[in-house]
Amino acid sequence: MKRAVLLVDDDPLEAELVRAALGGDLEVELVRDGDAALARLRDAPPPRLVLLDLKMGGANGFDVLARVRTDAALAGLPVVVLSSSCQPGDVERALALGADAYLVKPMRFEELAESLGRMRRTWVDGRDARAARRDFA
Amino acid sequence: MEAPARCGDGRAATASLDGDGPRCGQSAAMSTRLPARDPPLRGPSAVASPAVPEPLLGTLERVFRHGPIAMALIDPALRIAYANRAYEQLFGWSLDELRSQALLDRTHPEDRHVGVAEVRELRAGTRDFVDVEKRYLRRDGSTFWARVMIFAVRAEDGRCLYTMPTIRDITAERAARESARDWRQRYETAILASRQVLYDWDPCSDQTVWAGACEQILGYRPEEMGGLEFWIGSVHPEDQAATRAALEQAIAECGALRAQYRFRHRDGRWIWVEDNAYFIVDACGAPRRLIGFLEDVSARVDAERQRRRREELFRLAADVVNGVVYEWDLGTGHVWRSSGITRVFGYAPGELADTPDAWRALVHPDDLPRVDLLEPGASTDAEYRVRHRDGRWLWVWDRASQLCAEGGRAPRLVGAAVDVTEQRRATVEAQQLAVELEARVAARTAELVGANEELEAFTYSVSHDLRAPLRHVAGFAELLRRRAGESLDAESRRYVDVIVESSARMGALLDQLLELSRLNRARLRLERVDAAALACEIVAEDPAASGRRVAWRIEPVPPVAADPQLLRIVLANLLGNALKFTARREVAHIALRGRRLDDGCVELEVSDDGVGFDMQHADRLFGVFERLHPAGEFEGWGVGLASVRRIVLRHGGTVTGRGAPGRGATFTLVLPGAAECA
Repeated sequence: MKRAVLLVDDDPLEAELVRAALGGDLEVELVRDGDAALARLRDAPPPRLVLLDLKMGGANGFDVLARVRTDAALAGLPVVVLSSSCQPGDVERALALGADAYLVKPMRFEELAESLGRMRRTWVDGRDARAARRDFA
Repeated sequence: MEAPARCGDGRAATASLDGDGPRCGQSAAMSTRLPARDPPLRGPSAVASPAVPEPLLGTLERVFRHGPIAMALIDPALRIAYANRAYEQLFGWSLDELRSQALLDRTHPEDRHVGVAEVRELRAGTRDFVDVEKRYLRRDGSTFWARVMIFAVRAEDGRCLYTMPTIRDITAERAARESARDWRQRYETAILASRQVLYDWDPCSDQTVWAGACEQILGYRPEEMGGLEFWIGSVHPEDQAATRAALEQAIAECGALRAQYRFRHRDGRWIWVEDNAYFIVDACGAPRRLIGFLEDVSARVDAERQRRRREELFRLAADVVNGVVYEWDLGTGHVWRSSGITRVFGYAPGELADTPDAWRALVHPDDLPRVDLLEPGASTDAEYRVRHRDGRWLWVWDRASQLCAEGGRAPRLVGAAVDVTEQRRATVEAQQLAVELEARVAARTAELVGANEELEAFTYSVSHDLRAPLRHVAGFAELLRRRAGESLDAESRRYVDVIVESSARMGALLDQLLELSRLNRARLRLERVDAAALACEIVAEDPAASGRRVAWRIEPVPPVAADPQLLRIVLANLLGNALKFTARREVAHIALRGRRLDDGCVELEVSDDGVGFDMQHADRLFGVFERLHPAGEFEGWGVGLASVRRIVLRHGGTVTGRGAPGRGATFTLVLPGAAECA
């Protein structure tokens, strides 16, 4: 099994598209809401990357971000926000809470695949990290 | 002196005096004749005359000697042969002294020529007598005026033996005459100066003497004017009866005539004259002469008529005004009120006392302080309530103005209290209506703002929420294409392509809507912005400009107060459009210019020489998703100008576009000038 990506999204179709865009060889673990995500992070070894949706029932993406960044055990865990919201307020808030990157879900699948491919190379495969940081900062 | 009269040669003379001496103005011949053969007169005793008995001769001599009129006999050698006592007394010399003097020595030096020629003629017999006035010198050196009548004493053959002057002192008479002449002159001058016509009518003879300013006032020379018939005939027909009556009454009473009538000027005009005359009566009390003056009073009559007309107008105006006009004499405290007091306020004439307090008593107690402000010298305008006779309260608007004392009149307060009850009611209603309207507008505005916000939120959420399913459509269509791509026939592959492309296109439209919505909600951060510099940056960065030949003309423009981010969007859109619609030009011309307007705003103008547009579609220019050109011809979403308009409106500015097909387009922005941003 390849190194795991934790995908937090309440929309299964969205999750399926992300999974497809990331490539079939990567283990993607899906949780359907923030509470489930927090439980997973608490109980099992951390994944290589968290892809976090913002608007969800229960604890939302912001809550998850805030908890992750105050948990010393999860220090250094890369969290990338993957949201359909392009509102500046949401972007600023997420970055302020410690998101490593903010990706607006693009309309075209190719764009999604390209963006997620870069993320995989940066945080999952561990290559091209510096270039990716520059891209997403 | 009792000496007998003697002739110069000593012979006694006989004089025959028939009748009185000649009188002024009469030319009755008179001569004093002595018999030519008579011996020279030597004295009474020696005188002998066949014509005059001796005793009578002595009497004549005494008469001569003692008569009251100064007389003398002058011989041809111009010496006094004899002079009577009156003569001696007149000059102050005795007869003997007189005899030794030259005659002319006693004549005033300036008058020595007077009568000389006449006396010569008298002597020659070509003249019967001489009548002159001249001055003489008395013994004491004083001068007197004298009337001198000189007769000749002739011999039977007509030879002049003596001349005989009779001298009368007329100094006083002459002074009186001169005084009378002076007075007459003064009087005539005064009449002329007073511009009056003087007349003197004799009712018995119907002779009228006219004098004074006849020609100036009536156009006639005095001699052209006649008696009663002329006078009455010259009076205006409408005034004749009254004038005649006044004259008859004056005659009956032998008194004064006072009349005012129109007199026809010689040129036909009518002149208003005032006639003041008085009858002079004779000893029996009958009217003998009517003496009077005519004065031109046209100006006065006109002024009086105008005054009456103004008064009439004032009265009419006071009667039609919807209120009461009043005049408060501040000297006597009396108040005059127009008929409006009855018509508008219901009080019968005389029902209210003519005092200020009578009105004050009608005023609503709450409003008294306002009325008191109307006291003389204070405010001149107040609105208050007054009780109608029937108990209703009427609102009045009282406006007064104080007239200063003039011509002996005390100062007055003149004003009008106008019934404004209806207007006030209307005003109050209008005010209530305005308040209601304002409230309604505020409510409606709040509703609109709410609705607008809702719409914004709706737009946002629709465009946002539509994205997810759309993304799924696009995403899964893409996955389908990847997975089944090889196995799909060409037609099916095209279907999948259409699904992918259309959903992508719809996504782009949603993005534009989101962007527009964001523009509406973004906070404005006004700064001083140099639009020309901003335009240069945009042009430098625009990839569409590369590979194109464009003649940019970006002129310096006055700074504007704008949000730089938003203004960048505006200019990028306008310049982008210019670039886009000039694509077919080999060399495109795109310009930005600007100027400051009088009101401090700045006008920016972006123009191009591209395909332009038809002005009849100008109203659609700034609509969302509106496109004036076919979709295939020029790329675009139809959101750019809508964004421009939103942003400009948020800045409180305006944007307009004008153009013509094939002749380019010009977009004009008006934005607040930079001076207005702090």
